[in-house]
Amino acid sequence: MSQLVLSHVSKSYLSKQRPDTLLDVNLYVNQGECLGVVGPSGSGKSTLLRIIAGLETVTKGEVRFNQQVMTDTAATKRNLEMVFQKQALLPHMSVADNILFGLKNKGLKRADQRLRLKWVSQLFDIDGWLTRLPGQLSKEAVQRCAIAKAMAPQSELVLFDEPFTGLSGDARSQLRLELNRIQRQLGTTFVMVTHQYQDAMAIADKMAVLSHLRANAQTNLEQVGPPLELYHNPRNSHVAKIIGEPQMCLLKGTLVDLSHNLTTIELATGGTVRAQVDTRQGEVGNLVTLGIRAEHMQLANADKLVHVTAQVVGIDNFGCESVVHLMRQDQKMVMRLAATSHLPKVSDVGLHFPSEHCYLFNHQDIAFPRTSASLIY
Amino acid sequence: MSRRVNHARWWHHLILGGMACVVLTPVLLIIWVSFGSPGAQTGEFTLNHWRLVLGLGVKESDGSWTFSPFPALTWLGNSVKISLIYASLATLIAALAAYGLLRNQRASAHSLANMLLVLQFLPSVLAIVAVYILLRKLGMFVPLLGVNTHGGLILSYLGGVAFYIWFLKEQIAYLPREYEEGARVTNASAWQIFGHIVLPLLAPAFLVTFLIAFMTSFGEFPLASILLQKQTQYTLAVGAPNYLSPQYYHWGEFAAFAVLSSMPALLLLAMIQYWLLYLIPKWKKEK
Repeated sequence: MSQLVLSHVSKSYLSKQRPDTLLDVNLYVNQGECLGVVGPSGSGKSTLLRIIAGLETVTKGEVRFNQQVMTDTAATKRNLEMVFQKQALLPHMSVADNILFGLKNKGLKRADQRLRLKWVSQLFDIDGWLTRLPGQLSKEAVQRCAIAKAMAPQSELVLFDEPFTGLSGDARSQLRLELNRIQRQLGTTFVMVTHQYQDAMAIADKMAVLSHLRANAQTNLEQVGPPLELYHNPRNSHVAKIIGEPQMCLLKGTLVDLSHNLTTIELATGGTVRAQVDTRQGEVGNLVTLGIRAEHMQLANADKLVHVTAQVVGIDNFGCESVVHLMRQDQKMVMRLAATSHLPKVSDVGLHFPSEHCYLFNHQDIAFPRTSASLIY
Repeated sequence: MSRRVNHARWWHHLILGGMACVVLTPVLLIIWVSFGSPGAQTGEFTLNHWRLVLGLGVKESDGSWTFSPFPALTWLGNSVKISLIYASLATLIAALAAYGLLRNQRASAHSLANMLLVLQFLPSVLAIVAVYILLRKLGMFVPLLGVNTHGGLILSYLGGVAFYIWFLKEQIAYLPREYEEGARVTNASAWQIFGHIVLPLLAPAFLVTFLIAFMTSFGEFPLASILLQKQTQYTLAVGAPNYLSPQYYHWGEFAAFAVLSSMPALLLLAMIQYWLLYLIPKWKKEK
């Protein structure tokens, strides 16, 4: 039984300054599950979270929690917690007072408030910061305390609005890890909005991808599913582009041969690529878009055929890996190479696109099923 | 470059010194006069003016005691009382109204807020007769708020609260909404949000509002002179001219009274300045 259900939720602002709109969003989250909502800024993901919190009204649709309709329930009556991206703690209260303020509002007795404060400060290891004002703490410490504040009342549902924004890489993954552990331990339901897909990939059991509302689109909820499902089988190029960094490289082309599990595509910029996709729905001559991720591109050598040639524009050498920026006519491409020793020394390189790692989208931007994907993960 | 910032140039001193002279000369003159203008042709140092104003009496050469005919301390007390009550009420009402206007999403709230500003352009002195008639009628039903009562005077002052609403509205607009939304999500009531978040975070703005309201009502003359007719009810602005009757100009006592009546406002200013500079920025500076 799903705990949080959003059915046909739509939100439109009358003013032109706020283009972020939600159209017909259907989502459900089970108890103890973590839903990660990703999408570009302005796609309405924060609005979605605010609708769940009750800080924003819906134009159409329904929000249900534990089988109860909450669409018109005031934010103060919803019994959930929310972690904000900015100003997550009140600046004039110490961390302990901030946490106690939340507990007091829930109607807990004074002794229980103290116990809960002690419990949560141990859980998140923030004992040393309790007496400090938020302004005296680092960004990471503030976010950690803010999350502790949200977890302290032990609500069934906790919402996160970009909780890791502004944190450095290590602090980010550390906090992510802890949050994940605590969520499993307490069985709390999470909904987390983030524009960094890695945050959602790391924590979420289920991911939802929102995009800008396109003309004639039925909804701006592009796809919902387990994180790896979204990575390996994106439904369209929007999902494919949001999930993955550097962005997936998309190349226009035409179907030229549909052998039953090896499709041949001729690229508009020249070159021929084979992809392991099921193109029973396609026909020879169809316009398609070929997608390949930066981590799957390879340098061609004696064993690996050259599919495409490109010019090297620049190389970011990170030691553990190198990111090679390529250019083919007007098309930018990015390739990730694991080892530093094979860096191309020449300006023109031959690229090999492994057929099992190629994605293919038809002229309506719907992905052809990948026959290889199920074997990979 | 940093040197220039640290040390004022000679012409900075000149300009600031000149401005200080212009501001301080009348003040020093009044203090001087209140002590009997010592050094002037007819003057000599005396504390008599102060004794009279403070109600202590002066022993004449024939052994009799002279007292001031005016209850100066009562007037001062009246002024302080009225101004404190008015400033507190004005700040509270303005704060609640501004908060309500700003956080109300309806279009009418926006136009109402704009109307408040327009209202300020009407000179309120012109409404004195209307205010008098209204208060006389009101006094028939609520004696505490009629003509010749301090309640009535405070009520009529409160008609000018629109400026403070407008002023505070601008201040509240700068408060990040996340603070309030965060509290709403944790089940805090509107009063808790106001008391625990808006009030402490905007304390400087509220203190300044309080101070401005106190100052305006403390020296207010036109309304007070029309609405208060008993001598024991006078505020200092209404009472002070009594020292300068056509028969005799008690300049010394007038000056002593003037110096005395500036004390409460000065004290309040010093306190508020202390709060603003030392107590409130504690959490702001460290941000």
